[in-house]
Amino acid sequence: MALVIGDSHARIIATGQETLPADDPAKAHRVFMLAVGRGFLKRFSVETPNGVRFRGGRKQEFLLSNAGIEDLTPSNSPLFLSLGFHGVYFFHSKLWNDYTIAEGVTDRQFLSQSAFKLMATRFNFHILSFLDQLKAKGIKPVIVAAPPLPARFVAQPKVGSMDTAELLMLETAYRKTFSAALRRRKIDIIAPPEAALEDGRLAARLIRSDDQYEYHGNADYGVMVLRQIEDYLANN
Amino acid sequence: MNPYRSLPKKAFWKPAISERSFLDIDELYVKKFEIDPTDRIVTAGSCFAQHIARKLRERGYNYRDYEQAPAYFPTSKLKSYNFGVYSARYCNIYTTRQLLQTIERALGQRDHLGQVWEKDGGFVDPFRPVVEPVPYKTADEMLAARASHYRAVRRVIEESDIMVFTLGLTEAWIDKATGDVFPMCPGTQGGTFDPNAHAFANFGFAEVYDDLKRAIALLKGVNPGLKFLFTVSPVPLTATASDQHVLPATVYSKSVLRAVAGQIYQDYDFADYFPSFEVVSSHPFNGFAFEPNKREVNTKGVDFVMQHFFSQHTAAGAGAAAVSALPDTAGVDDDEAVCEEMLLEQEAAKWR
Repeated sequence: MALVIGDSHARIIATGQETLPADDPAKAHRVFMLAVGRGFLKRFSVETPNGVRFRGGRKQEFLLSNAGIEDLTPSNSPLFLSLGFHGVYFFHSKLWNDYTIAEGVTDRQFLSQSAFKLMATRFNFHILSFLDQLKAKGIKPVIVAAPPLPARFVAQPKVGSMDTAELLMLETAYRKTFSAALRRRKIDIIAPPEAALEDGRLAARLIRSDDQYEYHGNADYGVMVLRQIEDYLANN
Repeated sequence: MNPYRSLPKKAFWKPAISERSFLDIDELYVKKFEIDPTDRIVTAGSCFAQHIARKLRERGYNYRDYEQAPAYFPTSKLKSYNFGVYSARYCNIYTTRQLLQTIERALGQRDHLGQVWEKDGGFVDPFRPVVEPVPYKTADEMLAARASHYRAVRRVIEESDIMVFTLGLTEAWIDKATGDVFPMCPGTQGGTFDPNAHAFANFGFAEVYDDLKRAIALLKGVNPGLKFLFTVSPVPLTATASDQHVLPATVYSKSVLRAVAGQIYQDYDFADYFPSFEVVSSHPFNGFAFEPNKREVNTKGVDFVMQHFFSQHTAAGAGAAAVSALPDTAGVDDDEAVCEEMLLEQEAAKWR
């Protein structure tokens, strides 16, 4: 039994699990969402003598009610986390009204790749701190990457004069930066399943139809990720 | 009866200096014009201008920063990326020729696209080689950063009421073909020194004065209401390329700059001079403001200097309220001024 927790994309995996028949082995995993993405932008964890505990919001309550534990401990390894790759809050930040990483843009302040890496890493500071805490306590985290933004989402950027090309550049740079931070920590990443992508974007057939969640996968996508998790467990 | 009889005490050495503790020396500075709390103040120049910028921010003056750090940028890295050091990320502008050329480029009057330095497999901007600690990946990235910077400098020029400029050095390195001056010698922080392409210059009074007058004319041409507050940096040269001992070379450099500042002060009613150089460097103050290396100015020294400034500019209405109204105080979080010359010192340490 594995613990699969994190942001709203963890909920997508759970919706997939809910569609599986009762005798499917993947039903055994505890899969649930702790908070929406922005719930991980402030300090949200603390080390305890036993392991790592959540603080703030309802994360701790959800951990207790869904998994029956108070602390994350080495017995939860590998711990599957949907965290960090969900960068919509970052892409939608008002700061992009004033800044750009695109060399050809002249109506905003240009940020170098080096400066961008620092700010993108700082954006995920508390997630990375949480991962460091887990590792310090002997817990092996594995990051389940949220899917790339769907084509229909990137077609209409929602901030200032940003166009699709710039949003794609931002997303690529953001994911690359977070991946590098994980690599430095020797943390495994489960990338979105290849079969779920069309031209590098989440395939239209796998996008949740509810407009409110236009960048999330649907239950079918959740099942695909669950299978990846099972493969990871089988091979590690 | 003679003209000296009616002069105030401050005009005489004995009552103004000899009979006082240096801490009690006063009336060193009388403002030429008011600085209103709403006046948009910008800074540029040599190292010491960073201290002035910080103190103005702390006092709640309407200090402007047109090239701020973005949200989420780590505070600990602000200074090394030259965010919040001056009103734009020009780094130190040591010479008046550098000031003039910076303005010309910002106003589109001077070509600069050909100037690119390579460093460690990447590229740096020869006009501000240490603006970021990591070289740009490509020349295009560097040029995009430079273009963005000059857009910010243009705003500095257009959208300010008072420019504080600290004159720093007379020595510079020049591209013989273009006349471009570099803040640092080619080969020290990027690029390659080529004696056929690069030349050392030690500007004299006429050149410094002419460059500054031209810079002022350009600035006033865009922003006629702009006023200036000039200071001379008391920070000695880290090194000289002039064949002289570094001490007389420093005194020469500072003397030229002080003389130019004095002449400009006399020329224009919109140009004030604040004697921070005198308070730090002149002998009645016994060098108390210097760190043990007799070069960097310590915190107490900066406070003491600025005390003289704020005795004239009381900024009624400034302070906490004005600070909270500031949209753009990214700020730097420590007292040590960013001084690229220190990098030269670091280089020099390798040679010894």
